[in-house]
Amino acid sequence: MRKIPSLWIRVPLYIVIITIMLLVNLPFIWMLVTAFKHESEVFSLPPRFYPDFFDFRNFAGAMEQIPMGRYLFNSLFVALSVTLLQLVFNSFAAYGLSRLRFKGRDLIFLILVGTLMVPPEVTLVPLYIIVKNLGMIDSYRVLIIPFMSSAFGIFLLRQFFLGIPRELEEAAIIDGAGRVKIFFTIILPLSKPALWTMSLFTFIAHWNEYMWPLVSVSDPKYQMIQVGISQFVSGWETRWTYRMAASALTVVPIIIFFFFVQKQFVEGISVSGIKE
Amino acid sequence: MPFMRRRTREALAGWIFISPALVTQVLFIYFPLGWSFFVSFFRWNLIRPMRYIGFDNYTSMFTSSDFWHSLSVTFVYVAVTVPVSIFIGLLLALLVNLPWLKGKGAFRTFFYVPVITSMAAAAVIWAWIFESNVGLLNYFLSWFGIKSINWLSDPNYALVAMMIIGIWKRIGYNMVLFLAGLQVIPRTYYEAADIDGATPFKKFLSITWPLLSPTTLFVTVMQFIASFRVFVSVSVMTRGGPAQSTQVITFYLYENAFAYLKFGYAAAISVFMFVLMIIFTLIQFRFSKKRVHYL
Amino acid sequence: MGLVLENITKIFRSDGSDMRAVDHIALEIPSGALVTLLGPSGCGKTTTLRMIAGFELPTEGSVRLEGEDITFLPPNQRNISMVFQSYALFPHLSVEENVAFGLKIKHISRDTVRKETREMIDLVGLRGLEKRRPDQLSGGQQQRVALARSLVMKPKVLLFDEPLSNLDAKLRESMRLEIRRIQQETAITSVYVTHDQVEAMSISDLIVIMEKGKIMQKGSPFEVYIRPENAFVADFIGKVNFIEGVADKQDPESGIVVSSSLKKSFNCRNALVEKGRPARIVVRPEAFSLSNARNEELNSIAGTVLSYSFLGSHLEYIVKLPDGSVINALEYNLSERQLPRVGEEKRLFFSKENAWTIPG
Repeated sequence: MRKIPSLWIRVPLYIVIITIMLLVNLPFIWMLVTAFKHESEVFSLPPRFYPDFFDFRNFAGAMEQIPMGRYLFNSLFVALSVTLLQLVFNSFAAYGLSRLRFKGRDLIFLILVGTLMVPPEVTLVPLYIIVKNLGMIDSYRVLIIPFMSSAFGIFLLRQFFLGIPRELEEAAIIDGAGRVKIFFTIILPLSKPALWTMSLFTFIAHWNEYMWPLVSVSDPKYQMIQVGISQFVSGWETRWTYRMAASALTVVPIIIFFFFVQKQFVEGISVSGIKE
Repeated sequence: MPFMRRRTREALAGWIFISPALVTQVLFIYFPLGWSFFVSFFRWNLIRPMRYIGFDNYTSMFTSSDFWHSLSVTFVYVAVTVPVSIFIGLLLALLVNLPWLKGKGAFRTFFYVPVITSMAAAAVIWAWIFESNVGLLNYFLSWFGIKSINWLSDPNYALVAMMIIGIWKRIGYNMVLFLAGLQVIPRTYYEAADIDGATPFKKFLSITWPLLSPTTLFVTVMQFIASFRVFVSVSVMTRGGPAQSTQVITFYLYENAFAYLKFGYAAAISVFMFVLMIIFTLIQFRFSKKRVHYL
Repeated sequence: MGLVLENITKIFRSDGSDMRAVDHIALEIPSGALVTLLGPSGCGKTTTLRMIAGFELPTEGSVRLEGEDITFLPPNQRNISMVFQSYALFPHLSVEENVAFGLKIKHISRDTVRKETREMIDLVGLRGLEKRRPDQLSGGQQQRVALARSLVMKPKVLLFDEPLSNLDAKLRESMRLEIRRIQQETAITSVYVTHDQVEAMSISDLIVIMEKGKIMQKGSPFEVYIRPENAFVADFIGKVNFIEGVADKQDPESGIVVSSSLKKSFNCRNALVEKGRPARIVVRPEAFSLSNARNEELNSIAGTVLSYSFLGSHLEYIVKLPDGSVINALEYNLSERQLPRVGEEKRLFFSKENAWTIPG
């Protein structure tokens, strides 16, 4: 049993922690406050943390300036599609790499996981040229197809699959189950936590993706929200209230989503430690 | 021989299961990577045909003052953000790990929020905080008598602003990694130190810090790579300016490719980045083999 | 003959060196019998079992089931079922679904699946627990589910891979009887792997003792205990004392072994060893009697009590002989109710019938 320090130590430390927590989240608080302010309030000094009245018109204003709805839908669609495809292809690959024995398997594993060493910036230019030559620029395909599988996801799932006792598989084999049957009725149901963690990482990473849509999409019809919102900063005439309203629309859904799934998310990082 | 047939069937199943992932990874990562090397020996703007120019892209890169400038800007950024974000991340981990602290989960979650939000949106929000006339940061600084700073338009401060965002965005991630590392340290060491009457600071120096070194090394590598790749904040907020003060290497690469359409030259830059990061990873890898196996 | 192993050999190759896990095992298992493969870990018993199951392919030799060569058939086409050491129950399925798993794959009508599943759950005594998940069951109940899941497939051969090793001692004893009861009721040819000799003795029709990939002896529990063919078997099955010597007289009914270090000769039940060759007398601890009754028919040796333990029903002695060797003896007849003293002289008697010779 460890001793609990006195109040004189605990209270100041609580104050320190809470202060840091507020500071870290201050940008979001300030964003929300501003998003609901009336244009005239924004320039008051000292800054006011509580608006005189809640003004929802900023959200409509932001939507008018850029096609926010379209961008949000595109991001949702792309991130979900990528996640679903990765669920399929990553788990396929992870199963082959963890449960089936064949020549060259370990080499393929190295090849697949080796892509973790290649930062996307390095392949940005040639990848752009390739998709341009394939006529994929300005489409959903260009945002989805290159990311159908990921080294991170394969690695995570493979580690998990390796932990499933071999005897379970043998019990199923002796009962007459084939590889595909085992994969769908034994391996996948038992791997729900890992599949869920991988899906969360993938979805959030692609919702937040900026660089690839920036270079591969110029048509607003296919543009994703992160690039869309950055257009707000370049225009000097845009109001700060609109900008913050647009930011709130981009960020708040993800934060709320994160609060629901944070446990799995943070534990996933501690386990894998290889993805933001 | 039936023996062979069973093996072959398993191998066939294996290849079928891995092939979709293998094809996409090769097609969209290895093939482009190889192409980067290839294109870096050509002059090419997508409009006129490619022209082989040997090592010209590399020579002009290494003699370009812009290239060296962007490299030095990047290294200054790395040199500041790596130690600071690791230090704060560790500090937060130690605080959140205090055994008597209530609401650990909530603190951990809130410290982590910046990590899951997008850099693009964060940059928009921070631009508002950095605003020079009524921005929140300058208002706080005015309490200490500091005159208003043009964070994003003053060449002396723009990179500092980028560093602040970069650190803010990463401390939660580093904290979580350190927390994981702290859980691995056996409690018995601390109990033994308690019996010896060691102070908390002494315990940190003689137990926590040395036993945490594998985690620290890992966090350092991850943070180095992340800092080296800084792009979104620059792209959204300053576009390399003012006066090229935030012209980091990734943005330099991006501009050469997509603004000046110098694809061959941009490819040479990406090859350079790739080699640099591989070298760094390998150095760290060797280093880690020697030191890390404490536990 | 039910199941026949014809000289099967398994060589594992790793890093260029060969490991002979199973070395020319030949075995015939009659239909309906329960045969135990017994031996220390690494003796090849599990590998043999896995070759019968089809999880490993023999490097040499063949496996026959009711005359049909099944050596290279995949596990699911052999009509064989297996109870795994860890039970290998599917954790995401209920008891019922676990038992029905294999039947469903066979595309049998839903009613038949339900009926057979229920019958099997009744047979192993799990009625009322059908909807539970494995993690809501005790170890013994999980074991029963594993048994039901194997039996429901109506296999020609049932394999057991150390099925009781995860249970506590008490449960192990009752499950042992339960497995034997169900096996006899269903009359399924069974191969049972264990490293526990008591388990093997209590459950088997035939025990096959293995060491380093080879069969050391096969026989009924009675035979391997009373007539071990070599020191390994004598030592592995139960406790044993060895008295070293040289074989002397030869006749089929009895033998004499002379120990030069003890300066004594002993009368033995058998004469396995040629005259003049080194021999070992096998004497079980319970074969000694410590009574002082003079009987010239009996073999006897004298020694000093090194230590003893009083175990309620009996006393366990460690006695040191003049040549320095040590004898382990049990005394059940504690009529005098008086404990010996350490250092006391004791004379140990054993009959000719209890002296079994093996090659030294």
